[in-house]
Amino acid sequence: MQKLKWFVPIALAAVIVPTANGEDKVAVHGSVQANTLFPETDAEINAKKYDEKLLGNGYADLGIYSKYIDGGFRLEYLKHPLPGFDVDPAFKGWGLSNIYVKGKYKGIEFTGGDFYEQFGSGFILRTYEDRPLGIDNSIRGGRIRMNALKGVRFTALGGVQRRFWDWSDKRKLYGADAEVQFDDWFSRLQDANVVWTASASYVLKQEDPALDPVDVPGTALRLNVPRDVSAMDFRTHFNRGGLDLLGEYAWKGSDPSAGNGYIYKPGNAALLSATYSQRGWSALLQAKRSENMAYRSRRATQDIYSYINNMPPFSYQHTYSLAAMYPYGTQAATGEWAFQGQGAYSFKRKTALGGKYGTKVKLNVSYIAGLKTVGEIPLLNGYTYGTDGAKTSFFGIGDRYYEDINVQVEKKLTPNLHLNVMYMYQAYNKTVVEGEGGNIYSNIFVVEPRYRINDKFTLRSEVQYLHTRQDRKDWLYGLMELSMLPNLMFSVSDMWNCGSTGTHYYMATVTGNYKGNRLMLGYGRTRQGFDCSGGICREVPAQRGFQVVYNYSF
Amino acid sequence: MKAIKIFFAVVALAMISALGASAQLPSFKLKTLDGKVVDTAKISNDGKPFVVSFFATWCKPCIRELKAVHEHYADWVEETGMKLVAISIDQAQNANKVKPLVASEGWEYEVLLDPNSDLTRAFGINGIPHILILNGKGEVVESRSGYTEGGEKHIIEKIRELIAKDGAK
Repeated sequence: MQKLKWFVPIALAAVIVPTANGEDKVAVHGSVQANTLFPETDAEINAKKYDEKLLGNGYADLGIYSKYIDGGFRLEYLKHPLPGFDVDPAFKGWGLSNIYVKGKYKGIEFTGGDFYEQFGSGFILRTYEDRPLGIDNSIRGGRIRMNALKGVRFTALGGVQRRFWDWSDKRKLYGADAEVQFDDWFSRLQDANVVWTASASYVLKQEDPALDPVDVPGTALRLNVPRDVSAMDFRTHFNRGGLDLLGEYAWKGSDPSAGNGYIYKPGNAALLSATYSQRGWSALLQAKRSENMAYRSRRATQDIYSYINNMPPFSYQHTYSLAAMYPYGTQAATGEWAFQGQGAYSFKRKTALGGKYGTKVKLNVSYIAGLKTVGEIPLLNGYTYGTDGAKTSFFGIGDRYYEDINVQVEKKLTPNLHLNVMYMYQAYNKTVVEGEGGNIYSNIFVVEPRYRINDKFTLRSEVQYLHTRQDRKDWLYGLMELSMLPNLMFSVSDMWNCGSTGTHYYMATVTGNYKGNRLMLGYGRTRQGFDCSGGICREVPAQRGFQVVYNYSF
Repeated sequence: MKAIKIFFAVVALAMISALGASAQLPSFKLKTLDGKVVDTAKISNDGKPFVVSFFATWCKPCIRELKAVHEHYADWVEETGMKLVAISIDQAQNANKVKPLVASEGWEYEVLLDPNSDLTRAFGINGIPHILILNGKGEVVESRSGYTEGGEKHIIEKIRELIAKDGAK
């Protein structure tokens, strides 16, 4: 925080001085967000007691944008965070967490301060903010972007990565990315309606080996860990009409770290993706193989907060509660083979399957498995520390980690009644994702009718059923949601573990929207489980209480 | 407690400073579904009002809203000359799922990808769906989060109001 002292006035002056001249149009935007809970104890669901009467995560952002200069800052108040966010107590704190100034002139852009960046699919670099997960791994430093040459885009950056309230400069991060757009150079490609790019990226992490020294347990051996860990990424993207192709390959140097059991073998990842879309239908097929690609700025950490990269998830992001009960978390460290296929088709109106208003059918198939290991896993005094880890064969597919086959049908039955139904089969390897629990096989059914009562009221409901013989057996979920124009929504729901414990997880909410304001009041129980986004998961403890969630943006 | 007080004081200051500031689209380089690069500061609608809608392939209310607008879109465009620019906040690795969604729904919106959340963050958007209604000069006249069933009608009412205002000048 001390280092920011000089930066704040400079940043503010840099933004205010030129804007005060009145030469440019200046835009000001920002937001306020407060998620709060008045926690209550509840022995039945195992909701624990808190010392605080009120828990909450608060954020306020302000940004100023003009033709040549942008700037902004964020304040975070996380001293008494919501349940589960303080798994690492260092999460707690408050203050200025993000401040930056950006100058732009003729295709060259320079950012000083805190920023987010992603190269390609994120195989070697993705820093981002995800408030529900408690992630903000922004980079504090400098970044330059150049678009001065036609058809060439270049980015270079350097700095330190945020971990909660720590921006220690003992670990550094550098990166560069170049992208070439062929169709800007060759008119023949433009004539053929082709958009074709090729890109290359490089990232370097530097971490003093004296920080977090690694001793092989039970021996007097100390590992000689590298200070520099490099990573490279190459990709090409081709688009012509409805056809879209992407190929990407990444390599990461020797990076012994807690996440991979301190092995020295380099990591790599390859991705192929093809989509074809036309009005009324689309298809997507993609495959990915990754091995030893957990790339963190702090080698001793194993959690989700210090990743430099982000491996693309190949599981469908479900929003129905029971479909999201067993979410897959990407196995970046050990590696995986992942496949995904999606198809969507709209049957036209007034056809046999389309009916009077048309019907839409969507299919998604995800299959994710481990890599097949060859021979014995080398060990040193019973640990993988200091070895090259298990050998794998490129095409060898190991144990299944996750499988999801789901079909969704959307249909308008009458001018006022819509119906969505979904069937899903899921296989979830709980041992791999959570550490124990074996395989869970489930069949999930969802029916979601939506009825527009009149111009003012609409009623939406969900009935979901999850059937499994494993874990906590069957679940039934029901939801009723009444929306009232112009700005109110009421909902009640219950998630009932009917197959085993008989526990009800009830919830009632009222949401109001007024222009840029959104206020949600709720009361109920939240199940202990995992909240996942993009294959990255946070464990959420069981909780009960009154919730107040407020958002304002301008 | 001191921390809370300072926090809210700064928040209040920020809100006050925002009043009266004119607004326009901040400049970021985003890609279209075909991979072409677009400067968001150059998004306009030839002096007519337009709508910017933030969505993601996994966000059901967003898709419901965009579908609801789609049912009237051709009529609205014909009547007012408005347009809708949809900004996908899907992460880069999901960006290749946006085009199939847009195509299979038959949407005729201009769609841009914001995988690094640059534009989304610039507008202080913390939750989707979120729409912005802009006047012909590209100034944000309304910012609204969440979707209430039937709320799409408010969009066209606001657009008509803006056109009437411009016509009266």
